[in-house]
Amino acid sequence: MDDVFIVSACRTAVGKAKKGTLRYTRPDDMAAAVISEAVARSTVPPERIGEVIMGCAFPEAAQGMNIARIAGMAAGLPDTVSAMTINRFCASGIEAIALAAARIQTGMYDVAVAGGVESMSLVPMGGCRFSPNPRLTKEKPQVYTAMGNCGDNVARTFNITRESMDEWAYESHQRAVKAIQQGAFKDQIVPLDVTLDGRVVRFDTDEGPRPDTSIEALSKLPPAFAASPKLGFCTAGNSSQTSDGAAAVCLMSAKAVKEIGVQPLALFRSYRVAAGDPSLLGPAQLVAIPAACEAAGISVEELDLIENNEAFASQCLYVMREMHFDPKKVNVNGGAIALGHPLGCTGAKLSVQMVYELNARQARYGLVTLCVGGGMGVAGVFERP
Amino acid sequence: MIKIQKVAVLGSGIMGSGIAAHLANCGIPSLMLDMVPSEATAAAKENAVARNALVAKNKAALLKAKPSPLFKKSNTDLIEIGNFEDDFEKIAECDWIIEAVKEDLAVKQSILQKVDRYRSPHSVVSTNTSGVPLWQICEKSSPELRQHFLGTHFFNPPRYMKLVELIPGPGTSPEIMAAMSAFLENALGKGVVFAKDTPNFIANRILTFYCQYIIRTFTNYGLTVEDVDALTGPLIGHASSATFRTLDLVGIDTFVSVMGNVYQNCLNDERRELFVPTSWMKQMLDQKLFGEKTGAGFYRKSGERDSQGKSIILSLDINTMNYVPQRKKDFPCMTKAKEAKTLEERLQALYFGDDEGSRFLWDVFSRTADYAGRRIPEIADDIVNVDNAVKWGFSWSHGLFETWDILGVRRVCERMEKDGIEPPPIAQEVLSSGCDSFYKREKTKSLFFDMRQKTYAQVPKNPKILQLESQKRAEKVVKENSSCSLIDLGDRILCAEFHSKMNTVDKDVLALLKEATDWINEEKYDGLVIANQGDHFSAGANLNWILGEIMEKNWKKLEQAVQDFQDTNMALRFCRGPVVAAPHHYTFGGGIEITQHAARAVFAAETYGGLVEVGVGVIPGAGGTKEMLRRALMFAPDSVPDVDPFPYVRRAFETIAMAKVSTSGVELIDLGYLTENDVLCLNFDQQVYKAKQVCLGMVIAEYVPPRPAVLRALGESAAAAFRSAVYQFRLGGYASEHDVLIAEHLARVLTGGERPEGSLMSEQDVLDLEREAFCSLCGTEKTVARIQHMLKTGKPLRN
Repeated sequence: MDDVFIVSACRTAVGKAKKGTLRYTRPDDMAAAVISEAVARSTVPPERIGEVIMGCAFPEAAQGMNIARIAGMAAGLPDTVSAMTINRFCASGIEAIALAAARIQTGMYDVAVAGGVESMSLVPMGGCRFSPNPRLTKEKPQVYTAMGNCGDNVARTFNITRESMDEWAYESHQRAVKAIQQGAFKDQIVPLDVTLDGRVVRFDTDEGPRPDTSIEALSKLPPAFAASPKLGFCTAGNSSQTSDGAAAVCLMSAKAVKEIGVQPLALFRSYRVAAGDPSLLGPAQLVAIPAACEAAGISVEELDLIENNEAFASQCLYVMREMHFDPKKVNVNGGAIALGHPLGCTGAKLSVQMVYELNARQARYGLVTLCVGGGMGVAGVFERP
Repeated sequence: MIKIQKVAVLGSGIMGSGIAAHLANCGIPSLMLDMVPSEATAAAKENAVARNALVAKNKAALLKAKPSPLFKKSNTDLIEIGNFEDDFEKIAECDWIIEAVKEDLAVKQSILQKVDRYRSPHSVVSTNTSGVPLWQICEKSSPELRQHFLGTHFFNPPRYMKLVELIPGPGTSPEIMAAMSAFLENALGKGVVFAKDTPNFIANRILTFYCQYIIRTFTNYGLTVEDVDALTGPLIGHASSATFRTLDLVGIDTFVSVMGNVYQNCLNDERRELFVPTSWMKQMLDQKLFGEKTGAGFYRKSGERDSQGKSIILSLDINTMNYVPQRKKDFPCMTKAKEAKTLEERLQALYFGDDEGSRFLWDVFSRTADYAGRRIPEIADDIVNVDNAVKWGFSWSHGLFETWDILGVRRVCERMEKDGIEPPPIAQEVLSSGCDSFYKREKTKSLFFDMRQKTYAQVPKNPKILQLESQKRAEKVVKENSSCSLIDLGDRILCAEFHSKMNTVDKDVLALLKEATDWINEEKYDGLVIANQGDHFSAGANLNWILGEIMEKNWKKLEQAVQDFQDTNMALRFCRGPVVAAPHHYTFGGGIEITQHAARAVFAAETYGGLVEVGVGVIPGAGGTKEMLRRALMFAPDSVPDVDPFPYVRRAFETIAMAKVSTSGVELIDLGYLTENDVLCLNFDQQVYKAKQVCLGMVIAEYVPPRPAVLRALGESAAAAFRSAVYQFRLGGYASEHDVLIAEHLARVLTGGERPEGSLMSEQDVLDLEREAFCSLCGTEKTVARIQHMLKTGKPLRN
């Protein structure tokens, strides 16, 4: 199949939900900012864009009305550029990229903008009105297992210890703090000027990482989703943070890259999805990761860098252990425990981070993998051209 | 008349911030100032964050303090902060300025001089000192300030301790004293006693004597620290921390310093030598055994746990100064006291027994009562102020002179004489005037023996206090049974007073409530107040009654009982005249349900209430679930297009399923039990009066009962959302299998049974669902076990 290139990539800095700088910022405005920047950096004439695809985990209220279309309009794209919003929960952002890539490969169009957005401040996890299927709540209630319970289930089922989870959480913060200090995210972040308490504030730095955290402090936190430490291992400290943010990339066929004359950042090599027991997070990734690598024509060992979304330290460590990942290659600039997890944005955000890090390290293959609510897992392979 | 709309609190320590918090509880904004921290003295004036760091830290500490000084956390919004250097001129906006800085004369004087410079004329200025003489503090003040200067001595913690000692300074105008007394009682809900400007005022003067006398004598009786606490706690009507545990909480260092104040300044005190620390107390000070704050005092945690997982606490053996395991002795007087039927019998057993424990109690009481008797008129004009001070300041159930009355004035005097103590002049005066008690009751009047007039005088009473006890003495009871009385409060308002054990609701209570509504419907009375002045409003339905029917398998009778309770509550709700309920302290289950069916609640500031039925394995069955649904749906009326009632019903579901209990009266509103239309009553003593006034007001306004509500069922989808939430709770170990079953029943009632979404229901439809769920749960073994456990231990069982 034809190669699909990522020619530009950007994201907002990530805000802490409900209490952070982006707490009043509309998700469509965040999305518009990254779409507009991705288009500008790609140098593509906007009317050439075949489609805008945005992922969002709870596409309702401020994220409703097909937010991709709203954001495209708000970004100043021509009326003629179509748009759609897609949902695969936490993988929505990379799902949007994968879908755009597939459509480019099938020749529907040769340029697309794809990404993800989530304001967990303005649209709560679970949506504004959680309304499960009554029959399923009786016959198969695990379909709706809350993410925190899934995180605890993983730790319990696969023997991931609380100590190792807290250690990984600490490592995540350390790496993120260092990355920010070294300016690792500087080029990928689109600064936003947001109004907060009547003042305009420039927001350009991820606000989740805590330089002052310690293993001792982390180990003292009570379980977040269970009544006792015997049942619950996930805490507010070793689980991902709820966040606000948006990310987008511009994808092109090889032909379009040549015509427009842009320097590509990466190739989007492959993408696979798997599903399993809805009360667990992680096992499906173990299926999706080898499948994506195989589709990209590489072995898992050939991966140079891995972004394994830290929904929970338990799931992250479980996947690392089972896939024999070298921890030094995983989440090199910190993960969602430190940097935050704006649900539908995260897949796109990690893709943006991957594309930049592959270039920064002159590495070749990168993997972005996420667990997904409902027992699913996804994996996508990137290659530096 | 002074009007206090804003208060300045100078000093933000435990007392200053606690007072500011309580002012906020009462809706009064304050300006709290404190020092600029030494490290910020060089900081620019604009750098308020650095310069207000100390006061900001103390304000923030209010949110974490336990028990909470705040009725609700957002009350801190009413506390503005600043510092002594940059913000002092702002006190000009304040009507009352309270000085609560450290107990150091020079510091207090210099603050007062600053107050003199910046305050507005006519503003009231007070000190919260517990020991520094007022005349010294205001020595350098202007005459205008002196006129408005007094002592307002709050007790810690200000929210919970009823006592405020009012002390006139050398120039305080009587109008200011009267106005502040009324303000403290009516606006802050406090109990005021009038003290004189003598060291430690009333309460601490008596308490230091009492504690120090115990300290100096207990070993003479072969008692241990824990023996003393077993004898001097709830057994004699004192707080559960009794004596030594209280000292540990206060701090031995603080106690010694407060005591030293008497020694240094009361040169004519006949017991002055007692106020010197014993040698072993000095050793405690040297070894920093200050109590709670240093981790060891009269008690110390061993760091080990017993077989039941309880922390083992050692006590100090003052002979060896070692911490040793507690050895609790049982004294014969204790057993006798527990068997006693009346208070009189109990106290007689305790003070007049012949075992060591009893002789010790007599010794302490007789000496303390003698000491207190000799302090009139030195520290207070009369016994009322002395008794109220110890009752309100230390939660003693009875004052010294009240106890003396119970034991018999003559009998106590005779035994004192036998012991070689000459009874204090006031006791001799009582007897020689031909009287036989310090207090006397006459119908609605309460009298006390006034040393000044050598005869009885009326106990001063706030006109806003309506005592049910005195109404009863005045033969205003219209009807009564063993659990409830109907009392005529005058102005055609009737009061239903519960007096069953823990004021639980039983058949008798329901019968009289129903009768009261009948009388109002027949226009014999205009309105009903449901109130009592017991320890608690109501612990809910009488579980023995319910359990009895279950054990007998009288399912029809059980259902009838639930229906009777429902019908009575509906009769309250649709009564032609207004029904006002007055919940206070523990108001659980049925107590809340009755309150929710009243036209209005006048709730006490200290109300700890909730629908806690889940704890005994059922859901609220007397209309509580229906009321929570009705109240939730009121937030989402049909007149608002597309409004979603679900979040409100979800709150009702969570509140009931988790048996949430309020930590204050106002929190009942936040939990959805009450509404903003209900009325907060800050002073518990005034609750019945206020409830009557509210009732009367509604009568005057031509009260019309509500129309029955039409409720829209949320249907199956909402029930599924609740089911899913409960599933997660089960996974997380927050809910047992039985909790899940109870929650299923609750969800079913709140969503309308199996009715399709949007169907209309009457209140009775929901009551029928509620009753069905209640009775069905009563048929389960685990619910029975929960009820039995509650009856046995007073605590909920998680099974």
